[in-house]
Formats: sequence, C-alpha cells, structure tokens
Amino acid sequence: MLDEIGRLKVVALAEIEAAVDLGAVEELRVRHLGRKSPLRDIMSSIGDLTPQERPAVGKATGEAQSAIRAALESQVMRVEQAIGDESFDVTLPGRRPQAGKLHPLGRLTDELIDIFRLMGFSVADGPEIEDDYHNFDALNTPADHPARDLHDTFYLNNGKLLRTHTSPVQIRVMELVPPPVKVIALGRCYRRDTVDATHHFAFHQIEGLSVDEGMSMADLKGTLEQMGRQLLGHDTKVRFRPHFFPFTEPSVEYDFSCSICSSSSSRCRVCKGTGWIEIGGAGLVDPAVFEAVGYDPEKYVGFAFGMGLERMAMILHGIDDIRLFLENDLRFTRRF
Amino acid sequence: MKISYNWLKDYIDVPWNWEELVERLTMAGLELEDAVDQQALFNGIVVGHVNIVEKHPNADRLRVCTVDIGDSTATIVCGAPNVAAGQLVPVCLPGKQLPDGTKIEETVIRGIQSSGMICSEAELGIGEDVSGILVIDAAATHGEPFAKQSGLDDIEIDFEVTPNRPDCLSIFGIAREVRALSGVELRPPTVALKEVGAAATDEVEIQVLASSMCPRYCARVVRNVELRPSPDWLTRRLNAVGLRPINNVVDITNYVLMELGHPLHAFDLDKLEGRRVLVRTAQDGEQVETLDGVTRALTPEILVIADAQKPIAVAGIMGGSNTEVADDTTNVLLESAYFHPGTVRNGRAILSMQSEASMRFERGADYHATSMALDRAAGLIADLCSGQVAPGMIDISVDFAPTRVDARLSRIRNLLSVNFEASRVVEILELLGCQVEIEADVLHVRVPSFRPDLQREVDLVEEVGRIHGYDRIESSTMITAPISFALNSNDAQQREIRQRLSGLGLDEVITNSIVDDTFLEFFDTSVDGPLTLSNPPTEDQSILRPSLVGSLLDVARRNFNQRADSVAIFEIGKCYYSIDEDYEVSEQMRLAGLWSGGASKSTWRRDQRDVDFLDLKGVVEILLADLNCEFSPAHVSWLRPGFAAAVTFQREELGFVGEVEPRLCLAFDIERKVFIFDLDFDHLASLRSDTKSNYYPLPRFPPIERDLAVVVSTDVSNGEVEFQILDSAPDLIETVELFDVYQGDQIPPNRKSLAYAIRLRSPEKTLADAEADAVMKTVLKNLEKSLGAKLR
Repeated sequence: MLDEIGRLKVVALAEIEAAVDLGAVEELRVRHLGRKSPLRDIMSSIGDLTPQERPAVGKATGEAQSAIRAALESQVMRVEQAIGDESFDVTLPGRRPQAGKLHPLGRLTDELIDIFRLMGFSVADGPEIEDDYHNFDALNTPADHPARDLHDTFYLNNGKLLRTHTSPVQIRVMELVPPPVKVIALGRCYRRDTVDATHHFAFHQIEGLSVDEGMSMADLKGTLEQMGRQLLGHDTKVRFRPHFFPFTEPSVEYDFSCSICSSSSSRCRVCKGTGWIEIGGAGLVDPAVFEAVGYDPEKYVGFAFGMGLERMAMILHGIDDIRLFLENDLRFTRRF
Repeated sequence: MKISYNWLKDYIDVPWNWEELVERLTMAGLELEDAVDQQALFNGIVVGHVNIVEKHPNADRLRVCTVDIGDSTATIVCGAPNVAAGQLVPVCLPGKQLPDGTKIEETVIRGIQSSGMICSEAELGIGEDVSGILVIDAAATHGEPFAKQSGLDDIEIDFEVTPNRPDCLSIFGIAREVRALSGVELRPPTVALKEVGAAATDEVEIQVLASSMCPRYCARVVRNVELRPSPDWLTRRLNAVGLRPINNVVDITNYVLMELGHPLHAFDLDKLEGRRVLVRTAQDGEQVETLDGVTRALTPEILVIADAQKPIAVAGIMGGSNTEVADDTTNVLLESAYFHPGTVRNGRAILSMQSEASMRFERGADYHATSMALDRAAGLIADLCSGQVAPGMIDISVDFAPTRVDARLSRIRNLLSVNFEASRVVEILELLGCQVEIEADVLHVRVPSFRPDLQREVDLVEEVGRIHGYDRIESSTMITAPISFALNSNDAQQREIRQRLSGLGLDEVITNSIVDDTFLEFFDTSVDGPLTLSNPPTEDQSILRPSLVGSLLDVARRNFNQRADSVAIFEIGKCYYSIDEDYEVSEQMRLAGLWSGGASKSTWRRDQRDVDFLDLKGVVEILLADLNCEFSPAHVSWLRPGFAAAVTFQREELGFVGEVEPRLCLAFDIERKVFIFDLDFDHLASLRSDTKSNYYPLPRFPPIERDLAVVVSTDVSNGEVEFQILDSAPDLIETVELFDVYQGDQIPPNRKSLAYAIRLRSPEKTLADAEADAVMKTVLKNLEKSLGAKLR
C-alpha cells in the first residue's frame, strides 16, 4: 500500500511539472486531489485496514497530498510568469561590455612562457641594443667567421648593434649565474632582410638554454617534443636535421610533424606534403661558448634552441603574410 | 650547391632513387632547396618530324607545317625562318606546358588552326638561341618524349650547404656523403696524363713570395690547345649545375671545380710578361681588371698572382682580363693552389666581391686535392682541346700536417645519449674518411684533409650523431625547479597588465620599433638626440623610437582609414634613448594606451557619445588601482595644454595621460579627439611588485553617510577639495566620493558647485549623529578657510 502511494505521488509530480497552461494544471488538481482521485480512495477506505497499518498509511497519504498541492501551486506561478513575459525577444543582442583582444604574438608569447615554466625554465631579459661581443664573439662567431655573413646586422652610430638573435641573452645569463641554468628569453631581433610575405627586418624569437651536468641530445629532444605537443597536439613528433650554428655543436634544425594535414597530403599548405614543419635551430652549447663565460665544458653540458614567433604564429593560425603582425589592422588582430 | 643526379652516379652506385637520396642527405645535413626532374619539366614536349612546310596564305613570315608526332599528324603555324621539311623538331602539344610554365593551347593564327608549337632552344630553357627553332639530331625518333631523345633525363638537385662544409661543394663531395651513409665504395674520377715535349719549367718560372698565405701552388703547362665550344655532354652537365658554357678550356676548369670542388684557373701563357709567375701581396696603387670587367684597386692585404710586371689575378677570387684565355690562346698555364682561408676572406671583403672560387677557399679547400684536380683538368684539356701536356707538375708547397683529434667513446655516448659499440663509432668515422686507432676509451682520429671543420672532440661527436641518425636518439625529459636571478623578466606583470587592459576594452598592438623621424621633436627626450641606425632598412625608417605615442597614433590613423568607429589600443614595448653626451644608450619598457572615437564599439548600446578625457583616465585609474597614484596638471609637448595630467606615485613621475595636441592629430590625419596615456612600465612593474596588500580587520561598527555640496571658485580643483575634506578628520572620514559638478544659473558666475558623498566611521565605536555633525562642521569650516568655499 505504501509503495502504491509513493508511485501515485511520483506520477503526479511529473505530470504537474510537464503542464504548460493553467487549464492543464487545474485538470491535474482534479485528477490527483479531487473527490475521485486514487489518494482520496485510499483515505476513504482506510477503515478497512488493520489498526496497526492505519497510522502509517494515513501519514503517507497526507504527505503525498501536500506535496502534490505544493507542486500545483508553484506550477501555477511558473505558468503565469511565462504568460506575463511572453513578448520578450531573447534574440536581441546582449549589452556587451567593451572587450579588447591580445595581439596574436602576445598570446603566443604567453602560451610559450607557460609551456616552459612548467618544465622549470625561468624567463630572462636582455637588451636589444647589443655589442659585437655578446651578439657574436662570445657566441663563437669571431669577426672573420664565415657564419657572420648569415646575419646582415643593423648598426647604430655609436658602433653598437641591434641583436640579430636572442642568443646574447644566453651569454648575459651565464656571465651572471653559475650553472645549472635553465632559462628562456623572448623578444625582438633585427636582421637586414628585405621585407616580403615571409621576411621582416624586425621579428621576434624565443630562445632556450639549459646547462647542467649530464645533459645530452636526448634532453634537448624531450624538451622540444614537449613544446611541440603543447602547441600542436599530443601526437606531435620532433625530427632533427643536422645543421650548422657557430654556438652549438652538434647543431640541428628541428621539425615538428605536421598536425595540419597529419597524413602528409601533397597539397598541405603548411608542410607542402613532407609531413614535417621546419620550426627552428638547436644543439648542444659549443664548448667555446662555455669558455667565453667561464663555465667548465668538461663538467657541464648545455642545450640551446631557438624559434621565430611570427613563423610559429603563421603556422598555428594559417597566416600567409608576416607583415600583418606589425601593421596592427584591428580587423586582423581581433581574429585571434 | 646544385648537383646533377646522373653526374653523381659517375662516382658512386647510388643505392636509392633520387627522392630517397634527397631524403637521406637532408637527414645528414644537406637541406634540399629545389629539385627539378627534367623529364617532368619537358613532359609536354615530343619529337616531331616536319613532313610539309607551306607558306601561310595570310601572312608572309608565317609557315604552315604538317608535323608527324608519332600516332598522328598536327598542323602547326610556325614563324621561325629555319623550319624545313625533313627536320626533327621539339613540339609542345596543346594543353601541355613549356618548362617555364607557359601553357600551349589550340589556337587560330591568321585564320589557320594551329595545334601546338615548335620550340626554340630559348623557349625550352636549354639555351639562349632565339633566332629559330631547335633542330634535333637525326638519330632521334619522332613521337618519343623530347627529354629522353635529347639526353635531358637528369635530375637537378639544389642543396643548401652550411658554411662549415666546404667538402660538400662538389659532386664528388656529395658522393663521399653518400658513401658515408650507404657504405657503397667510391669511384674517383680517372686521371690519365700523357706528357709531351719540353718540361713545364722551361716555359715558366714560378715563385711563391708569401707562402703563409699560399701554402701550396701547383701549375702545369698545356701547349697547342684548340679553343672551341665544349662537347654536348659537357655543356649539358654545366647547364644542369647552373654554369654557363664559355669555351672548352674554361669549361674544363669549371667542370673540375664542380666535380672535385677545387678551384682552378687557366692563364694564357703567352700573355705572361717575362714568362714569370709571382705569388705575392699587392702593392699600394696597383690595380687589375678582373674577368667580370671591373677594375679593382688593390691593397697590400690582398694576395695576387703577378707576372714580371703586373698583377694578373686576385688570388683565390678571380682572374684578370689581361691574361684571359681567349680565341687566340694556344698555350695555357693551369693553376691549382691552396690559398689560406683568411687571406681569401680578407681580400673578398676588401674588394666586396665573391666568386665560386672564393666561396670554397674561404671555407677551406682540400690541400691534397690541389694536384689531383690539376692533373684531372690537364688530362681533360689534352683530350678535349687537343692540347699537349708539358712534362712535370710545378708544385711549390709547405708541409701540411694532418689534423689529429682525440675523442673519448664515453663522451660520444654521453652527449648523444646512445650506448654505441666502439666498433660502430669506428665504422662511422672510417666511412667519413678518418683513420682511427682505439686505445681504451680514447679514439685517436686522423681527419681527412677535405674536412677542415673537424678540429675538436665535439666535432666528431656531431659526425657520429649525424651519420648514425638523430632520429635514433630517444628523447628524455628532466623537470627541474626554476631559479631566480637579476635578469629575470617582468613578464608576469606584463601579462597581468595586458590582460587587465584587454578586459577593459583595449586591443593589444605590437608596432615596429624602427620608425621615421617625422614629429620626433614631440617625443624625443634623449640627451644626445634619438638613436639612429647607420645602415637603416629604408631611408625613412632610421630611428629607434623614443616613444610609443607616435606608433599608437599611426595605428589609429590606419584603423580610422579602414572606417573603424572607435580605436582603443595599448602596447607594452621598448623605447630607446641616449642618456649622455657619449651616446650611452638605455632601453626602457613603456606602456601606452590610446582611445579615440566612439565610447562604445557596439551600436546597440545606448551610450553613443565620443570618448573623453575621463574615459581614458578611468582606465588608467583601474590599471593603477593597486597603487595610490596621483594625477596633477602637467605640461607635455604632445598633449593639449589644460588637458594633460602627470601620473605620480609618492612624487615620482610614472608618466602622463591626456588629450593629444590637436596639431599632432592633424599631422597624423586624425580628425577626432585622441586620448593617450604613456607610462614607464619598468618603473610601474617594480612599484607593483614592491607594493604588498596587507590585511587589516574589516570594520566592526556601522558607518554614517553624509552629503556635502559646496560652491567654490572655478579654479579650485576637485583634488584640492577632496584633500581638504579628508584632512579635516583623517581618522573618522573613510571615503570621499564626488557625485556632482554643477555650473550654471543657480550659482554665481566663475563659481562651481561640487557635491560629495562622505562616509564616516570610527574603528572604536558606533558614531553618534552628534559626532558626525561635529565632523561635518569642521570639514565645512576648513573648506571655507582654505579654499573660500561656501555651503550650497
């Protein structure tokens, strides 16, 4: 009997909640609380029960009836409210507070800092106006080194230069602190490139340096793999191609597997069908660099890597012209 | 470095197809720049047999040709004067392309349907002759692909060679790399010399006066050469690697240059004054006209080859016109030398010129290839130019000690994180041409003379890693704790401020830091003038910006030109100054914001007015909410007088906010009012990190609110009134908030009414009304006395 009362209550409450107009609610009141309702029937036949059963059934029936009554009342209110506001057009635009957007390079900078912070890197800063020593000599690139031809450098009237890469920050950090170090540096660099869709004389780089005992190419690979996975997806693989930089030995260029086409489609705009995207340069710190900053090249091994931010942003967002970044047409910057 | 795949196969049986060859070499450090499959390039070209040539009925200079292209015949209108029946010719079929990408279609030329095109050498990109169509050797079969019939079945592969690898600047050098990767044995070019007649030393006397700059100088004499164009196979190979054929002697020196990577030079022996060759430094005032037709003034740092009288070549860089091999040449002096890399680099830099030769010498040529390259070239000249090689090679050399490097196996294993067997490391080094002896952990390595880049243990580590394959290195990750130090960046502060500003409705911009000098007088605060580039990117852009203000105005102009209704932007970026007379420089991170146009970006919002000073000041106030900054009237060159405020923290100036000087807006073509703030970000960041927000107990007693409206002279500022109110009872007055400013009919002229909501609270007890009244009385009295205020 008690089960039957419970069932009647559940059915009634569900029906009431589904009622959409006042007529339907009234009909349900009659059905569940009216003179011919099942709960009334139970109440009127309570005398047929044993004296032991009567109090429990009476109490349960009363409670079920008051729950149904309360539900009917609140459903009436809900239905009435809906009727009162039915003319409101919810498709009207909301009143939007003014909101700005971060520049795509700014967002990428934030993302990269987060990625490397989690791996234990600190962020270091260095000047853009550099001297030959920090930009070249200390990085194993003396004046007559053929690699200097790779950089066409801007000079100031006082003989200082605009850094051609973020690598001088490595030197400044190592001059300042003994190993171990683990830093990244981000910022503007300058090279005398002719401006076109993929080159600009002013661009941004991120650079990483990690020096400790017992480091190896495997640590470099693992670090870059982490960056690739965070930026391009967890399946991303890293590939090393041998290369040459005066300040690293061995030196490599590193590629990420293409997550844009993921099947090396020959029409893929990003990897051009190779399945790999060229990202940047890396390697183990050349012992000559350690000698310049007074680190013991026998005891310590370091790895370093670099990457162009514009290039990465172009890959991530499918941007086809590097000049857009410094033009700041807000229709462009607000897209990201 | 451009190579020919067919040529490469002369020296090694490449075990891979060309695509795999490219892939393997890429993974060994030779990055592919471009690859051209000639067969694909000439895909649309077939050999046709010209059956009939008739005059075009409507054009004197055109001919109508019936050409058999194998399975059918085509009617083709042709303008070339040399077309004739019976010829075999290259035909580009309709719907196909010429190698340069020009598409050929069916077309009607002066009323006659033309189905294809008969091509000239120039149209096919294989020569320069534009005078008529190319006529193919009778041995060809019509209907067959043109490329196959003409031996154009090569692959041209262009690699980027890094500056440390001069050994890869030749086809044979690339073959050596293939050997290192595959283990397949090399087939060096054959040298077979037949010497004839009087000894070379009878013809010429050679002296090296600067042997440190020229450690080895070899030469041979070849008599009675016949100058003529080179045979087809040779010109085809030179073309494939991007060199222009000249004559057989010069072509052979270029051929050997590309083959072995060793630069050679041929002199006309009979033009040498006194039949002498001196290798010496130039004297001041000497000059020589080089083969490119330019007369070069020489200096004593430059090494030259001279005869008894004058310089005849710039050593290792370029020969002179005065001894050039030309049509009238019969006897040739062939030079093969090893010049010191620094010498050639110096000379090249002083003369600001480059050549295929200088590129190789300055990176480091192969000392031991000197004589081999010479004999190879002399042999080819004997074969192809009917020359007679005089007996004896002149070889003036100082000893060349081979490079020996010790490398520890343990170090190689550790740096590459690969547990190599010793035998594997030895195998790799030997494949690279090294000689290796093992002694416990140490490898004693003798480096081949063609690898000047291998000097240190770590250089050999790279070689082992490179040939073994970096993709066989497993990756590992070490997570370590961050360290802090003086160069730590304030990036966290930057991010917080950037996010706060974008939340307040401003878009972040990043602008160029190299700017033009227009309007610079408004912004420059440098002691010794703005920082100027001595080699700027363009004539206009030559200054390192001293301020962000101009950059932001430029962005505003650009966006208003694009019909933006409102521009609200900010930038955190570096500015650059000279800080003393000695041009000592300083970089400062600054933060600037600009707001102009509609106060709201949305047309739906009710607020359709333009922004004003207080809008932007409000942004700055929220930005600086954690600091207790003050705003006071200021004079700034780029801000409109009367609408400029200095932002200060404890009397230290942080920057300015205000309305931009209208003349400056006009200069930037902006017709609307522009509001800008400009702050010293480094300073702001250090203040923010120094400022701690301390806890204090929340108030336990209820406040009493009182309003107060006073009338003051219009030149009394709100700031002064607020200060005086607070100063009247600093312990009991919690906040003072302005809620109305009124000027008009109901108060006297030159006066204004200011209304404040004042909240009073005691930290010790609930204030009684009487106590609040007493405070308000003191406030009013204070205002009357100090500012001449009247209760309204």
